[in-house]
Amino acid sequence: MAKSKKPAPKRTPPKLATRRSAKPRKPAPPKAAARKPAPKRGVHDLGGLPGGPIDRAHHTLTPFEERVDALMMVLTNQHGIYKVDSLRRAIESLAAREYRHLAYYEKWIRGIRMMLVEQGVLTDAEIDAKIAAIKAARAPGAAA
Amino acid sequence: MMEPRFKVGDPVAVARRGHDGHHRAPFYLKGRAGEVAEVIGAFRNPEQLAYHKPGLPKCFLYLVRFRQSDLWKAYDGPAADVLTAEIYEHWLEPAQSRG
Repeated sequence: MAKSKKPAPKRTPPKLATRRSAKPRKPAPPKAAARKPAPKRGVHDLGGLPGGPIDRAHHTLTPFEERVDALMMVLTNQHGIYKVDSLRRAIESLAAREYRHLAYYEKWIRGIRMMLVEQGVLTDAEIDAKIAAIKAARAPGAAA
Repeated sequence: MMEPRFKVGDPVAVARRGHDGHHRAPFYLKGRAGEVAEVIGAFRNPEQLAYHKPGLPKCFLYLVRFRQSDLWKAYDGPAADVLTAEIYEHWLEPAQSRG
């Protein structure tokens, strides 16, 4: 699998003001303030928060979990499509509600999807079409 | 050749600053002081690798030792308890020696 070029952005943002019509700029805020915004805790940044009891029971991995893990290894170690750091970044960018409720490998597969689209391997439309096709094929009454 | 800014035993503090996007300084350590326990080495910057960039030049990674009693309110474990964390150089600032 070759790493293809990123697709061109769909649209360019509208220009808000031309150089000529722009009003004189206000003085920039002090640089120190710009560089040092107050720390905010990301939804993933849980260190030190109460976490409740830890479930130490082992469970057998489901086929879904094993496949996601395998996909991760193939895309990183074998093909170098992305680095684990960027997968981590993608997962941290999930909406807070998703981050809290998705299971471990569900977060991974969402991150992997973002990586495939960002790196131009697949488009969202291609992924959605494939998911729809698989759902249709598995629906009751679908031709065998 | 690039040299590490800090050496083992140096008092350091984790910068108390925000950062949009992926970064490698946990909230609970921001603004906390400890000391360098080990200079681990120089690595590509993971905060740039996270956006498909090369992450060069490499930056130094340190193992920083904190007193647990400095991190948690009403810590009731032994006074000698410590916590170590891997922190990149750009998140560290010189700190006052704790003696």
